[in-house]
Amino acid sequence: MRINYLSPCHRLFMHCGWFAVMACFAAPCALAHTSLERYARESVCISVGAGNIDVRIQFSFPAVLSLAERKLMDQDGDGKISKTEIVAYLNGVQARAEQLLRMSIDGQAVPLIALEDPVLDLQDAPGVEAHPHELRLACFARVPKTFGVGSTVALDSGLWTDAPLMVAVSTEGADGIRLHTVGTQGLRQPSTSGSIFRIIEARCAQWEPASNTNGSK
Amino acid sequence: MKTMVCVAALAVVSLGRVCMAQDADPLPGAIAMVEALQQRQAYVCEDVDREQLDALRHDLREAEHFLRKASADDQEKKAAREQRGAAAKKLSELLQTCPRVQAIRMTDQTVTMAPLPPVNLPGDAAAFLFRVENGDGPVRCLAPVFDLSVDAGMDFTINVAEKGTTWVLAALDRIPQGRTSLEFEFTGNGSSQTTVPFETVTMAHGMLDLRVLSDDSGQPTPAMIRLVWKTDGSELRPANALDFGLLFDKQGSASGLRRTQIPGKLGATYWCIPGPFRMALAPGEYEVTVLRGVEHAPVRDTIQVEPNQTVERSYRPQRWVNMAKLGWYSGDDHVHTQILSDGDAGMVMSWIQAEDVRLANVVKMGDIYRTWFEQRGFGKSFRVEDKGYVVSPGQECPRTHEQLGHTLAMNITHMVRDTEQYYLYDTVFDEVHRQGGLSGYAHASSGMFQVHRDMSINIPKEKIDFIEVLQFANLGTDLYYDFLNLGFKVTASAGSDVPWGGSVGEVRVYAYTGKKQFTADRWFEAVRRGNTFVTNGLMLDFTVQGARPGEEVTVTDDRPLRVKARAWGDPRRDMPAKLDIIVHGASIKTFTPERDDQKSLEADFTIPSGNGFWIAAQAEGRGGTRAHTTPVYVVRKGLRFWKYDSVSDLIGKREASLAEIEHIVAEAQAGRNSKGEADSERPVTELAKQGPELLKRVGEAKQIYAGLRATAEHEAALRK
Repeated sequence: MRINYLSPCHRLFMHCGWFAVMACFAAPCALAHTSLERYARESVCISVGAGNIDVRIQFSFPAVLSLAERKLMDQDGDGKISKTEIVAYLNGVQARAEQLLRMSIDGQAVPLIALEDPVLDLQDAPGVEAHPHELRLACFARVPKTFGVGSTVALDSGLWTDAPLMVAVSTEGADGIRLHTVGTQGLRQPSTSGSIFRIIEARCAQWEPASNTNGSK
Repeated sequence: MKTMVCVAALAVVSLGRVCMAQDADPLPGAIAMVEALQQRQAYVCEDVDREQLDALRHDLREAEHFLRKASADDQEKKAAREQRGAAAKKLSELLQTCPRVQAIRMTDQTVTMAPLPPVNLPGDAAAFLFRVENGDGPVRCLAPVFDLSVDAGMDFTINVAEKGTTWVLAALDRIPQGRTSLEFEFTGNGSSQTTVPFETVTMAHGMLDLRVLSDDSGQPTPAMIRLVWKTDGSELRPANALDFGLLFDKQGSASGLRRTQIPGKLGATYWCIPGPFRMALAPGEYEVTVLRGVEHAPVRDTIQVEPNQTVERSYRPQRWVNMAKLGWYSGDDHVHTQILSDGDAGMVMSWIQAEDVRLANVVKMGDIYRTWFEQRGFGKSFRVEDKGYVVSPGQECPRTHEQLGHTLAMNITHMVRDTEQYYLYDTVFDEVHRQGGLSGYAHASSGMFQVHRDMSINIPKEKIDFIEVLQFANLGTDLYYDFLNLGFKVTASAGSDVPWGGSVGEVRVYAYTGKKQFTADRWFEAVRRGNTFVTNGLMLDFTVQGARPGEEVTVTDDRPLRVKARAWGDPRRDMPAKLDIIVHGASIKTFTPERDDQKSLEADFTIPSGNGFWIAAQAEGRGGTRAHTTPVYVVRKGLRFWKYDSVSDLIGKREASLAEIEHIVAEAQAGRNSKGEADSERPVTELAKQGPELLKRVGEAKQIYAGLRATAEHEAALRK
């Protein structure tokens, strides 16, 4: 049997008002079928090391929502998504991420810096079609010198908040570092107000870094 | 998966960055080079400290961030330039020391160099590092990627600097088996070209012979497996991995590759294997992770596969707790798969055995249009049982998204679905109960699909046995507490909702069946009694005056009641960070670990019975897992166990929910959907048609709430 790698399991929505419009278009169809198909999936992994806190986010779009996003990518409207269009789209994603992803440590905002260029995986379907796709982002913040047991790390996001999202969060610490997840959200209802939502808050429960390691494993 | 599209996008983005920053950048392309080195380290600079590469990457990215940032001041930009310069210098030094660098000196001629010695590769990927000198000039980096399954030819062109030195890390993916002839063509300007021919030879495969044994029986058992080739981090599908795709009706994540929604480090992708497997693997190190559900410690191992040799591994994930021995049996109330044959049933059985879920309620799903996840039948004769594990058919229907929410039924004898009465959920609940089944609400943890509306009708009518409060790694108790606080008994349950969820049993409901032999009927009966707790990691034990979750302690006066609770875990899964005792929705006592290695939190205290209440235990794990019991109901004779001081507000909320139903019915009767838009789709037309009957039920619920207000007034005197 053939594996279906196009898994709507990672379903995820993107981006602004376009989705509100598309949700209206898609609603009768999507709702007539299965409504969880309307949910995009946002998988967030936060890795804390002695020097850096790395954040990796994967958005997975189901077919219906992917179609809407693909139309956004297809700037010349020829039905195909060219490399140039992908680059332009990803540059836009990066710019939005820089504005709408925010981290605070002990209540103080810290700069979140791109750790990788965003990656778009159209899952072997490079056209404007109803076909799932994924988007991966990675960024990091420097660990302040004052960080230690009891310090809190919070991540807020305003990315695709106008869409319903299934959010899965995991946190991990390098050797000698342990985090306790204080709060997180599983399913998030869409907001039309452009709100920024708290994705996760974690508290440092152990701070004995084995070496000057980074968060990435 | 490496796809051409994403690789191309990366390459172009990286090149764009090179162009933008080239004027001042001491080493253009350094970021792409460091990232490529990290990915392909095994092929070109195995001995380099991985942390050094990672630190370089962070430094370069941070410097770039501040140099691009419009609001950065001169001081920040100066510091960023210095940081970038230092990182570029370190990278240059590191590249010089790479043992496998190939030097190329270009001229103004077209030259074909002598072939490189054949390159032996461990698998189907490789990378080559070149230092290409093209006269005097600046130094820069390039990191192109070529995919041999996409690129038609076997010669790959790389445009290096017209003047100066270019470090090139050329990566190749999907190289054919055996011996392959290739050429890199370096072009410096229009006329000059240097061609480097070479051959790759992939190494012979080794074999992996892997089995997972049950910790209970020592016999081979299904398990969840993750297999990663450490050479380049790629994930492999085990040879006999089950493909659930066809069982999922193209819904959700219709694949056998399951991305588990487990908080913490175990949250990753896994395949389900039904038993031992043997497969050929490229030589190298592999990381194996084996999971067998929350009661077992995960197994992590690193294995070395050598060419033409077989590696045998037998893993026995250790059971850190045996809840069955304590009388608690796990279940998943919400599993979607088609079961039309013994083959289908066998796959689902393997999955629940792999995750060690004792009972799965496999539900056929419907909406007002159609159904999905067909079952070959319902009732006891269509249960599948094997080695103490049970697959039992049920349903998720009725199920409306914008109107009344999703419902679940367990242990039914046939599917209950009548679209002429689709919005009259009580008709289904009654029939399910007549069949001996259990009725509940799905997704109450998140309040999705307007489920609060029908809850406001049918929980007061006592037509509901359970609601899902744990799903998608999210414990959501707001709605649950609202109804408990009104004095309604509702049982906590949990369901993965695969294929939308990650894997069966990633959240689960434990039901207490006692010391008698486990049977499905006993399990359902325990859920009916409310003897449950839900979890995705920690275990809970909770009694009040000896009464278990779901049971009632009746008192005639105010007396002390002994509360005992325990939350426990295992360091290999998750350890408890907090145990809360919840009364009327608020924590009255919190217990936290005194030692770092403390696996268990225990509570033992007395509480006055007062005028009665509901009381439950809730636990949080350090890694983010959650557990929650169904309450014990402490009932003072003549009084409800409700949150008396909040009754008016709580009833107000429910009445508001009922008003929402009246509103959507009125809208439907005017030909509009819940958003107020003209709509002639069936959900709206049927709601309009069934509206009068639904409103009758709303009226009945209102009467119940009015009765509760009267009861509250009556109790006022009794509570003094």
